[in-house]
Amino acid sequence: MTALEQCAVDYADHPVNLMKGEQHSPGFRAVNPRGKIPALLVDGELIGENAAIQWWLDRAYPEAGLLPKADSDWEAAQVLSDLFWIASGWHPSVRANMMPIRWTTGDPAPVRERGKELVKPLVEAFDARLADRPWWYGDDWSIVDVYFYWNYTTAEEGQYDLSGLDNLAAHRARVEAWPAFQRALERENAARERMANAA
Amino acid sequence: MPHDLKLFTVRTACTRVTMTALEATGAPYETHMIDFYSGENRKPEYLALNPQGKVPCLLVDGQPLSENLAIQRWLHAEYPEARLFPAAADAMAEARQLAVLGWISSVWHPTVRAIKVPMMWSTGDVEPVRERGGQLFSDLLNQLDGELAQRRWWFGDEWSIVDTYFWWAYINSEFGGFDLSSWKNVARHRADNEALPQLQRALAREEADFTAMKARQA
Repeated sequence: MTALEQCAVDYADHPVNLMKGEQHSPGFRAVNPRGKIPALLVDGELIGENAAIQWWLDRAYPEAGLLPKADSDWEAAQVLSDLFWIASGWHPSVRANMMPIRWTTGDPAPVRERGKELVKPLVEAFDARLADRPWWYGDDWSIVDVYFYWNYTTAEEGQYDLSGLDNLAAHRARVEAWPAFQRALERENAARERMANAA
Repeated sequence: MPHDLKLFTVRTACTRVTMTALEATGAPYETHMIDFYSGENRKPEYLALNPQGKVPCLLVDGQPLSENLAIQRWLHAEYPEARLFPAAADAMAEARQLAVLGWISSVWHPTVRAIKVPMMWSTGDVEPVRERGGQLFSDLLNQLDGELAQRRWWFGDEWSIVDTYFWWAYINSEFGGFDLSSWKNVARHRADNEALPQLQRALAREEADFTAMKARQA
């Protein structure tokens, strides 16, 4: 949503109630057979996977500056590497930490514990990189900053202690002050209220 | 301009997919197999190349590129004649290819890990993790099998590297003791993959690299 807000484009949003398993309902599987969010419909055609959606939005709305300008296939591949590293390296680790029940039929505690071990080197490396720059890529904001933000704040929701990571804390404040991010949050809150009222 | 290519691999890891892609390009490349069990991926020499200590990592003229999917896309841009992906008419079609790759790397791969190396997801008893992995993986195989009932390869009549990425995921679940026999279209897809010369060459090379690594350590 932050990416869409940054593109300043009109879009409709439909919240999916994961608590009720709506992502697996026939109605939603007809939209996305993978039963996953986010799912973006562009003129009725589906793009799934957050990183792929961000990549497409960058192509479709280059003026929004979602991703750094790539002057070669090599530079473009490095950006893809980062995006999909977050999707496949960070996200599943954060999930083990925040929602350990996802990875076990038994006691979630040792899964959460393992999630914390996996998250630790990720957030520490992130903090170290941010020592000399405001954003992941340097002076300019990009959507990967918000993607990282989502991961580390979600780890915190899973009781991961982020204190002592001062560069990360400063990054967090910068993301929270970003207008497109604030608009996305407002819209998400409005959608959540609608969903609660409908229930 | 020919590139100087060097791939870091781990035996049976998803570097098999990267090697298959490299074999399909026909470009010469070097390989270096890392011994994960002795923690070679945590050594300073390796971390200097790849701070995340991950494989695959491809050095292109000395510069590192990590993440399987990013390497596959770069190889596709650089060696289009290898047809690692079908032609994409526009950015939308390309994004949809990325979405499939992203689905495999962020969903299939971590799920296979729960089955094959459940200790990756728990500090405690691994059996409930393996069991949960099996539940999640069955749903994924149902989806793949349903798609493959309609066509030979993921994207249609022609192989793409995505097919070998799926192949890698399901055969690794089998290494973790998962029984694949209920999914008939997956079985057929597996046989089709294993008949591919590029995959066979990659596997032969992996085996030779493993022998060389053992000899190096002896």
